[in-house]
Amino acid sequence: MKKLLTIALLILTHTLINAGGFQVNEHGSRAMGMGGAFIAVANDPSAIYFNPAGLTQLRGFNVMLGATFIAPRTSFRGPAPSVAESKMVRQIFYPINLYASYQLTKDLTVGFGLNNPFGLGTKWPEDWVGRYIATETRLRTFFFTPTISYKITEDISVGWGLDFVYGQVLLKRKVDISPFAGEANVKLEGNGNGFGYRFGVLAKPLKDLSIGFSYRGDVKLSFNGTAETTGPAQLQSQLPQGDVKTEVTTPQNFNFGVAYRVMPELLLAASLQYVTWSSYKDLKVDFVDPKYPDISTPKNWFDSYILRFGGEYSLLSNLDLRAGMLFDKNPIRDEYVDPTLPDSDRLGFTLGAGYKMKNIKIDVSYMFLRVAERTISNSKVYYAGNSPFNGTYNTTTHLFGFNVSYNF
Amino acid sequence: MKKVLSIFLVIIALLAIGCEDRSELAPPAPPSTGSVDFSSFVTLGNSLTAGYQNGALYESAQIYSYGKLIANQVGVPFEQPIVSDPGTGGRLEVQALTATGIQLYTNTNQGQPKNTGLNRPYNNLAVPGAFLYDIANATSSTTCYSYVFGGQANPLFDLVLRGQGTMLNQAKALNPKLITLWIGNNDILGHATSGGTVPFTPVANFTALYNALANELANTGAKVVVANIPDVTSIPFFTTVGQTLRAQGITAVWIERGTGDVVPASLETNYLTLRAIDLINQGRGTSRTNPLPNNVVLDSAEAVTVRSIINQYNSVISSVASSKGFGLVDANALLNSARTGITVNGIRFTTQFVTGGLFSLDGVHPTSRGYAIIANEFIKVINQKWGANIPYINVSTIPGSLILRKYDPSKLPQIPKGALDNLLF
Repeated sequence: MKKLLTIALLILTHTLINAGGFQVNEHGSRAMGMGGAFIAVANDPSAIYFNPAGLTQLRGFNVMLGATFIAPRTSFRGPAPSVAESKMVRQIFYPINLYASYQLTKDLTVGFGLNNPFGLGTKWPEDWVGRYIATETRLRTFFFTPTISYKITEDISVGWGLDFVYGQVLLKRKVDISPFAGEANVKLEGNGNGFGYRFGVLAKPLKDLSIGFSYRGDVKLSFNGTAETTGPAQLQSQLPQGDVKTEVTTPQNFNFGVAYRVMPELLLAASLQYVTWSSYKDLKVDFVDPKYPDISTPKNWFDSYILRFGGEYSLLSNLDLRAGMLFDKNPIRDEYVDPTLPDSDRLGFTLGAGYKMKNIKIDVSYMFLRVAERTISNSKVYYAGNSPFNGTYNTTTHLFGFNVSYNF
Repeated sequence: MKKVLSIFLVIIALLAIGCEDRSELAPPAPPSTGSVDFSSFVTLGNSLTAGYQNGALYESAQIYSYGKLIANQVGVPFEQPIVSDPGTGGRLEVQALTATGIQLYTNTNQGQPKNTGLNRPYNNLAVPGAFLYDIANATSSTTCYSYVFGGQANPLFDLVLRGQGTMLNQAKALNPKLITLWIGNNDILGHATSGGTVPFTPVANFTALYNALANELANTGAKVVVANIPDVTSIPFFTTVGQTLRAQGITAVWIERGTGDVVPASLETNYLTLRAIDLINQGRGTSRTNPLPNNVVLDSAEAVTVRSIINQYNSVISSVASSKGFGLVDANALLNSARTGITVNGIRFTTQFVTGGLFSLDGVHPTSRGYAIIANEFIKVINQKWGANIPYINVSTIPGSLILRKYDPSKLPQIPKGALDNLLF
């Protein structure tokens, strides 16, 4: 297992950011093309992520492999009253997804999934004005998810999955050492793991109508790592060092979906995703050495939701076109928005296409996310002394997804 | 099918609109300066106005002179006689911080003057070491007070004045609209730091010089802000040694007084200067036969004199300010309030050496943050007196300024004599 992880991590160097908070929801190109309104559709192997009950719709042995390339652009203007612009260092992240399903009997299907549902990556210039808050923040998670799905009747299916989760976290920032001139660097790095579970239901009460529900539980990730602080030689002995521990609990996701085949060529779908971010109360870093004080940063997020609408149109017998929209309510209170995750409400537009050749299917998708301009004027994040880090954040993000699926 | 394609086209158009960069924000309007015209702003004074820190004048400190900080808040240019780091020589730096204390290092390297080609006088005409007399009289290193009355040339006059006349005349040449004047500190400080061995400027002379200078400044038509003289006995140069010895349980040391007699001196009322440290380490002050010399001790009688002179200087300054309509910055009150600690922008400042955050390593001159606090006092007076609305400096955004010495791998390490004699091989 450990070796497998190492190999996986070597290949997958980045992951991040893309939904409200530090959750990424783009784990299948077909779903992404439809604005993610896939809960009541779930008819490809990415159902393992969206709604494991949907796997019963697949025949035989299926594999699906892909990635989503995410290119965010963020700027900060401030701290108020200054409007000087700082630009986040541009990075491209590519959460991967890999799904396989196998129909054991007519009614029973097993599956396995690997993807990166939680992640975050922000990097600011080393000399930027908020360097005492953050210069680089990175979180990645790998969910290894075996599932089992069962068709209770022709119209009702259920599915379950277990999540084995591995995560890595990196926090870097600078520290003001006044009254002395200069600054010190802090780097916290660690990895951890946890467990979770998920289940889903898919029902077809009418011939052209399906409704779905899926639940992904919270995962408590316990991280162990080290703090490395470097600064001028004269101060080195006073800088906190050594082993650190922290815990991050991912939120629960409740997904409700509906899909309706309006005409033989056109499928319309909608879903609501409810995310219990209110579990993220604070971020605590515990120094194992009692000599150093522990750190606690308040977060106090609230629950949020994402509304998704999408459609798929069969242009030709082997070519589907897709489009969708989504609105993602951010979970962060104004006063706790900080440059490690300058989140805001998001409006997304998606396009996609799927092309089938015998047993192979190729799906591509594109999403544009307009993250609402957000001006903070009551920040409780301090960049120096008790000076609040007020200012205006702006983010736009482009996402490109592709998947290749094969049916044996 | 056409319908579907047209929907696609609409979505693509929406995307193109959505991609527009909407991050441009209007810059804030420049602050109101009320009836004050910052187009020609001149600062006159001594080291405190020059932006001197850690025993030297150097660029990374000069950019935090209070005049420069005020000019930054208003958004006007402010030219200074910049000397690149490490400056004019003798800069104090931190060699080591240990459980037992701080070890200082004197950086003997010098920087280069950088702004010598400026074809007009500097906005910051302050010269470290200047006395009140010098503002209207000194033109060079050998016409300044310290040379005329003490035979000691001060080359910094040449650096700042560049042979183009006195501070006052150069200020006039700039056709000033706003002048700050903070002078008189050296007229008493040299007396205090030398344990009373160097004379101070008699109050009568001070009064005459200050009134004459005030007339000249008033005649320029500029608005003028003056600052008074802080009580120097609360600066770390005088307080650190006594406090430390008291913390070690020592309440008195043997000193030689100005009058020549040797007495045991209470550390409550007599001030040992930072210059006494070396002598104390050599055992001086522990016995009647081995007292601390007069020139490192401001004894209780001398301290009373110093405070009295400062009070008299300050009453001259305040009466001149009120009769001429000048703004008055009460630097003395500011330093007094700092004795018990002040909190600015969430940072606690005290007059403690090193840890207090207000004073640089020479124990006399402020840190960059200290200068920012002073600049805010000037801004407060300008705002109140002339209806301006200049924003205060956020002191917490001013970087720390006690220099930590960098290890230079190109130089041989300095190893104490004998330290390597008993190594086993």
